[in-house]
Formats: sequence, C-alpha cells, structure tokens
Amino acid sequence: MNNVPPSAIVVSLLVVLCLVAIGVPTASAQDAPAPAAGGIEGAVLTKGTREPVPLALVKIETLAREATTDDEGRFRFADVPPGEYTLHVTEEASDPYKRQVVVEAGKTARVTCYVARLSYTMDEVLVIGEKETQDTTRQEISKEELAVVPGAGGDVIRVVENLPGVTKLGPRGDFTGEGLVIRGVSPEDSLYLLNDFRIPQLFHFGSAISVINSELISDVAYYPGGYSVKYGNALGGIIEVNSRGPRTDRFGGVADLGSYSAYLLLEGPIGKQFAWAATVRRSFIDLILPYVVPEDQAQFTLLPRFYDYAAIMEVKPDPKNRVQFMFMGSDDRMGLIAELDSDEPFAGNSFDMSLLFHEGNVRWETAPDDRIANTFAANVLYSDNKVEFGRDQYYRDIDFEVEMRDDFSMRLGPINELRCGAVGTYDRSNVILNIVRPPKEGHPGTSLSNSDLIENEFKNDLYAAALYLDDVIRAGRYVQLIPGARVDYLSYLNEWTADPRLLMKFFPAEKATIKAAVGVYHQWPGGDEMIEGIGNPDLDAEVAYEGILGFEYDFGFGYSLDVQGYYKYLDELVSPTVDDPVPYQNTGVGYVYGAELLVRKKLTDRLFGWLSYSYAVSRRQDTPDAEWRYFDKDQEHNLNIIASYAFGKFKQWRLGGRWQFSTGLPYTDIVGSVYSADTDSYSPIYAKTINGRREPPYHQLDLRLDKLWFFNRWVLDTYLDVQNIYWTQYPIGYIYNYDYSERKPVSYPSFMVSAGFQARF
Amino acid sequence: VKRVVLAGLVAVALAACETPFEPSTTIQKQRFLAVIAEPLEAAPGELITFSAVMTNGDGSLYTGPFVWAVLDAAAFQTGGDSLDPDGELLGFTDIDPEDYYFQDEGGADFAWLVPDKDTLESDFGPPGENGLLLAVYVSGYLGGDPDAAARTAYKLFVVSERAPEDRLTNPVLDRINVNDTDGHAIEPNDAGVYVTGENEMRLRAASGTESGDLTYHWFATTTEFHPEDLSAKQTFAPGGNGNYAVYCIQRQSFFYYQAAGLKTRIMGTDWARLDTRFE
Repeated sequence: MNNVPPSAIVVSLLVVLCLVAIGVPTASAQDAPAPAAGGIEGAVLTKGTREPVPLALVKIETLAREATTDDEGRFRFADVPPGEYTLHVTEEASDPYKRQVVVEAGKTARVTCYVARLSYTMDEVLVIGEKETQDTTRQEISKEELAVVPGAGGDVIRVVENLPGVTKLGPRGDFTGEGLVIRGVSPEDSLYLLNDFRIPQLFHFGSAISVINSELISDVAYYPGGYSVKYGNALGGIIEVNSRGPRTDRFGGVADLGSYSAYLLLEGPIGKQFAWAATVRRSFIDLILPYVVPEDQAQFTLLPRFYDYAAIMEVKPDPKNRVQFMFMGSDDRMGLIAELDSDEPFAGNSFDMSLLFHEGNVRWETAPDDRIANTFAANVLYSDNKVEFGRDQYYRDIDFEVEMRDDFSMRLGPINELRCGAVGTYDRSNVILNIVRPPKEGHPGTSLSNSDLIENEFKNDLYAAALYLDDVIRAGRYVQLIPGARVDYLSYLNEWTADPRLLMKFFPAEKATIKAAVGVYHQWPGGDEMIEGIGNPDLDAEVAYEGILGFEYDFGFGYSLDVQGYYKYLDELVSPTVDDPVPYQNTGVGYVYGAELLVRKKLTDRLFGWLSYSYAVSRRQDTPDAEWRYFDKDQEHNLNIIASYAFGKFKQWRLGGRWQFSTGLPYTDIVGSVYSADTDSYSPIYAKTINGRREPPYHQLDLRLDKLWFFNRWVLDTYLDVQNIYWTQYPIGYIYNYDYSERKPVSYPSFMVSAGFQARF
Repeated sequence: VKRVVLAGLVAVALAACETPFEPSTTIQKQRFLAVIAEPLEAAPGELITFSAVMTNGDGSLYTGPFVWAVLDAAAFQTGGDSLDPDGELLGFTDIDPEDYYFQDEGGADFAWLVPDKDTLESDFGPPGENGLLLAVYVSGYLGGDPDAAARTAYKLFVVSERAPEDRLTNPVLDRINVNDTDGHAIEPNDAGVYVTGENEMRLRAASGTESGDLTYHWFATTTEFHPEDLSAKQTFAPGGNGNYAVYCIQRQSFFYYQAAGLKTRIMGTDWARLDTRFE
C-alpha cells in the first residue's frame, strides 16, 4: 500500500461509490452474490450479580476480530458474515469464557456473556470503627468479611461484639439480649443511632439478630470513646448505623432463609431520579421452640417471634442534593407460663412481653460546592412496650418522639473545617405500671414477692435541645486537632450541661498515627430515675471525664495494628438510696481504665481475620460511705480471634472460625435468707461485698462454612454456622432452693447450629 | 423498660427450670411456717400479740427460745427487701434494746403494748396517711441453743388510728375437715390424731372469713403438697404408713399503701395443725 499514491485510493473509492449508487454490480457481486452481513451485540456481565465487566476482551477467533467492553460491559461487532461463531471473553479477574453465536444475514445477534469472577465481592464496603476520618479510630471491614464472621449469623451489627472494648456476656447476654457493654459501662449508657436518630432497641429478643436488616446498612460506626461533640447524652460508646441508598442500575433483591428467620428484600430504580428498597423479615423460632423446650417445663401462651421491616425511598434531583426517606419498625412478642414449683409466690411463673416500634425519618443532604455541606433530618418515633409477669405485675410505656437536627460543615481554607449542628427533641411518654422497682446496676437482685410495688400512671412531656461546634484543624503535615464543645438542655430537669472535648492526631510517619482525646461526656438520668412519682426530679446529669491515648500502624499487605489506652472517671452517677424519701440520688462515682489491641489482616486475597484483646477494670462506689465494688459487667480480659479463608477456583468456599475467651463476670454471694411470714417466701441476704465473687472464665469456639453457587442471573449462598462447638457450659444464673441454702447453676444450651440459604438476584 | 424485661424474664426463665430440690412444702428441718400479729392493725395504746409457728425437723412445734424485736419495716428493706447486707442482724446481735422494742430469750409469743403517738413518731418517724408500717422480727435458734445459728422471720403489721372497721384484720381458720375417700368424716382419736387405714385422706380447710383473697399453704413431713396449689381442699396421700404432721396456714392478702403509688403486700394469717397416722 505504501507504493500507491493516496489520490489513487480516493479515486478508486469514488468510482466504487458511484457504481453502487447507479446500481452497477461490482465484480465480486457479479461472481457470487453474498448474503448481507449481520452483526453481534452484547454485554459481558458478572455471573450471578450481573454487574457489568468493563475492559473485557471479546474475540471472534475465526474472523480474527476483537472488541473491548465499555463501562457498561457492552461490545459490538458489525459486518459479521452469517454463520456460527465462537465468542471468547477474557478479563483479568474472570474465568475465560466462550459461547456459540449464530449470525443470520442482515440481523444482529444479541448475546449476554456471564463470566465467572475469580473473586466474588459484594457491593459495598462497610465501615466498622469510626466513620469520620478526622476522629480517633477508623476500621474498615468489607461487607464480604462481615457477612461470614462466625457466630454473627451474617448480622453486621453483631460483628461489633468482636471488636475491642465490647464486653462478652456469654450465653447470659445472648439469652437476655442486654445489648452491648462498651468500655465498662451499662448498655443503657451507650447510644444506638440509625441515620443520626435513636433507635429504642438494637437487637430482637435473644440478641441474635439486630432490628435493622444488614442488607440496608451502608456503614456501621463504632465509637468506644473519644468521639466528637456531634454525639451527646451518652457516657459509653456509640453505635451509629447508616442506611444505604437503593440500587439504581436495575431491579434486584435478596431472599434469605435462615434457621430462625427469613426475609425478602426488593429494590430498584424508578426513572432516573428515584430509587426504592423494601424489606420484611419474620422469625420462626416459634416453630422450632416446641421441639426444644419440653412441654412439661414451660408452656408458651405466645411463642416468641418477631417481625421487622424497612423501606427506603431516595431522590437525587441533581448531583448536589440527595433526599432519603426511611421507615422501619420492629415487633417482638412472647408469652410464657412455666407450670412448675415456685417458691416465689408472687413472682408467678408467667411472662408476657411485647416490644414494638415504628420510626420514620427524612434526610436531605446538600453540598452546594466543595466547601459547604449541610444535612437536615427529621425523625418520628412511636414505641409501645409492654411487660407483664408474676401474678399482677405489669409495665406499659407508650412513647412518641419527634426530633429534628441540622448538621453543617464548611471549609474555611486549607487548614480549617468548621462543623456545627443543632438538635431539638420532643418526647411524650404515657406510662402505666404496677411493678417492683427493677434492680439497678450494682444491686444483686430484687424479690418479686417481698419488695414494695410501685403503682402509677402518668404522662410526661420532655423537651431537649443541643448545640455543638467543632473545628477540624490540620496544622501542617504532622498534626490534626479538633477542639469542640457541646451544650445540652433538658426541660424536665431544667438543666444545662456543657461538654468540651479535644481530639488530636499526630502523623510521625506515613503509615503511623498517634491518637489522643480528652473530653467531658454528660448523660441525662433514665426516665424511671427522674420522673416524679417513681424517681427523683431533682437529679442532675451523670458525667464522665475521659482521656485516650492510642497508636495506629499500617504494615501494608492488609496488616494493621491499633493500640489504645484510656481512663474514664464517672461522677454524679444515679444510685438507689437507703432511708431517703426519694429513691435515687447522684451519689455514685466510678472509674474505668483499660487497654485495647486490634491486629488485623484485611481481606486482600483469600485470608482475613483479626485478633482483638481488651483489658479493662471498671469499679463503682454507690455512696461516699460505701465500699468500692466491681461494675456488674466488669471483665478484665476479653480476647477474640477470628480467621476466615476462601478456597476453590472462584473462592466459592469459605471456612472461618472464631475463638473467644473472657474473664467471668462478677456476682454477689448469698450468705443467708430471711423468711417473710406475709408471703411465705424467703428473701436472700447478700454478702456485704457486692460483686465480690466471679464466675469462671468463659471460652467458646464457633465455626462457619460458606459455599457460593453461581448462576447466570443470581447467586446462591449456603452456610452452616456452629456456635460453641465444644459445648462450653456456662450458667445464665442459679436456681436456689426455697430458703437459699442450696443452689445449682442453670445452663441454657449455647451450642447452636444454624444453616441457611440466601439468593441474591 | 429493658431492666423491667430482664427482671421478669430472668426470674421466669429460672423458675422454668425443673427444680432439683425438695419442695418448700416439705418439712425437713427447723423452720418458720408463719408469724401472726393479732390484731394485724392496732391503734396506739393497744396490745398486739405476736406468735411464731416454727417447726423442728420432725414436724413438732419448736417452743423456744425466741428473740423478738419490733422495727421500722423500711429499716431492713435496703435495696428492696433484705436485711443489712452483712447479715449480722440475723441473730439481733447489733440491736440495742434501747432503740427497739426487744424481747430476748422469750417464748413463741410476744405481747407488745403499742406506745403513744409521740413515742411512735420519735422512734419510727412521722406516720403516713394510713399510719405506720412496722415489722416484727423473730429468730429461733437451731436446736434451741442460743449460741447456735438462728433462723429469722419477719411479719409486717400496721399501727394507725383508722376506724376499727377500716383496719386490716386476720382471717379465721375454723377447722380442717378430714374425710376418707368415700367422703366419710374421720374424727380424731383421744390423742387428737386422725387415723386411717386407707392410703389417703381428703382435707378441707373451713374458713370463718368470707373473702376471695384467701390462700392456704399446706406443709407436711413428707413430700406431698404442691407449693403452687394454694386451695382449701387437698388430698393427702403420703404413700406409706406412719405418723405425719400437717400444717395449714391460711392467709388473706391486702395491699397497704405507704404513700401514693407505693404499696406493700401484707397478709392476715391464721393456722391449724393436724396429726395423722396411716396404718
């Protein structure tokens, strides 16, 4: 061709075009009229997830032609002679793929190539740890890791239990669903948030499954301490869950059938600006339990079961604005009669419980430019909790809460980012009760027969408000400071609190970070503690003064180290009174100190895992004259080792294990009893030293095996999860004879096997 | 609400476990079965007689010595319901007779003359709308030896100036009717023992009080009565020949309001004892 002048080529083409235009057949057409050419159009998608595969090479070897897929995974061959061809698809992270295609004359064959990825990944990455990079700690765990942590049942919130700072309560905690004990304070001293708003309960009955379906979670932030002034009204940690946006590319969903519950999730776009997602879940423990609990021991009047639901609608009118509506709710119910001998005549052997809530919120995020961001959110919460037990004891609390908040941030230059916000809350509670006063932390027990009964009915309106302001200052390459302050107000106590805090980070080397924080954290007393008629309306807020020092290092290849030490002094703690007209006073003090270690191997190829170890000491003094004692859930040592390995060509098999070890929890010995001639029952006499004894150490091994099955348009995940594989027996409590002179431990089987199927389409 | 749920749930969960112990209705050791305050509610200046029903391990009545004390009911209800956590008060070793109304090494009865209003207020604080809620504590020593360990019981009662018809009163347990399986009455022999050649007796407590709040707590020197069966009628079938003591404690349930919204269970009490023999 190099010898042919360009002008000759142009002339030849013009001649051919003219001949075609006037209908003169060309020489080849005159020899053998060929059929009109066809074409091939198609897309290369990931087998199972139907995610587009960009930059895949598609070849027709017999024609020596090839095409590369675009961002949508699409490819096209034009002018393909009729015939049967083999398409070969290759892509770096996929298994080689080929398929036959028949091209007919004048027609375009449309094909979809489902290639098997060598590594299956889910859509999102979740953040466990502190979400905001400016704050003290940040740990990211991929959803693929979270979904297969043994013992967590695929529930991402339960994975938090394996991180440093969370006390392992063992089967007792699993049984009672007490929630998370973070850095040595009670579960009610920590805050559980969904999209910045409080959720009344974190787990369903039994604490095996959280009330928020993990499928709709975009991230979980776990702040054991040292968090910013954005968060208030908590002495302990923060668990913040944020919902994700629905998928916008196509309609899809998940159907999950586990051993104890099942759920369905559907989602998809509506036009270009709207998208939706909805899920509903129901437990079927009620179908299993009759086979587990012998009928002669307990008769369920209403077998335990729960529902939950969630729906999200998202609107993105433009790239700078996003509006999300979310509705969710949960309903747990159970009724039980134990037809057995009871030496507590008024404890009765019955228990009925109903925990219900519905919550809806709207969240508008806007970022007019790179410097300014604002989020306005409003939430409505309705909850109705009922408990009845014994012969005549009941408690019902119907609560209606409206909360609004606005969070604003603005960059003031290369160094500063100013953040501020305001929160307003209105809460109306209607309570009717006839119960003995429930034991507080540090009180070993209450006799349901011999204690005084509180009988009351009241309505209360509470107003609360908060303002916060902090400044993220990046002072040079090595230092970041976040000074901030927060003020809170509660109308019922007519009290203001102020929380100054300072978070610091130092970067001595590229992969090393030194972290430090000091701050004040206030928390309002609980409703039962401050409401007039049952509590003391003159109480003050409880307060914690905390200091944290930590070090983080990234070794590369997915390995990292995080070490933290902390000290927390607790003051103005609400404690029960003796010989006082009011039942509670702010006489308690306490301290918690500890060290935490997290060594991680992130999922890079086939292996992931972590080792978390917590050392903590948590003690309290209820009144100035009282002896110092251990916190009810004090746990000196707590070790979690998690490892999971994927095998098989497509990593479709995964085997994981978790081993836990923890110091036993403290308890108070019973040294005698006194007979109540009124109720014909005995009240225990507790030892002088509260929490002076300790349960034996607890350890447990869990294993989990996952197998993924890939089909063209969906993926099936099957799993087998075995908890407490070597049957560690651990008491959830003790049963005593009628006068407390003999006792035997009660161990519920914590050995648990669960299996399930999950179809993702 | 979580603490309420936990309190109820754990209590019921533990109650739902099959108890591996002897039921509380079996008399096997020295123990209290009842303490009675007569009257249950009295005015200042009136006499109250307290009496204890304590059995020995063989079912016979323990007759003393007893130690008695009248105390503020709330004084021992630290944190709800128990004695001082150090347990030292079990034998009343810490009680100063000058501070409390105290009777040492007495018998099964303790007569207490309720002081006048001023003395009461001085000793126990100002009365509430419904008077004063007080408690009588009584200890009996194992084997009757004052140096041995003690068993302690308490009984609530009320001192008030309410009209007599408004006061709390004890129910009256008239008698226990004993029948054979055919419904024929069994009368006690000269020694007061109910004798049968059958293997069971039908017992029925006849109350002299009309109330729907009456319960009957049955005890015997054999494992026979169900602790939750508090009905007036029982079938007594000890399953072997021998002598068996049976006790029936009748209780009438009241709520005493210490203050608005705060109420305490208090029981009126009467009792009876049967000696039975199966031949």
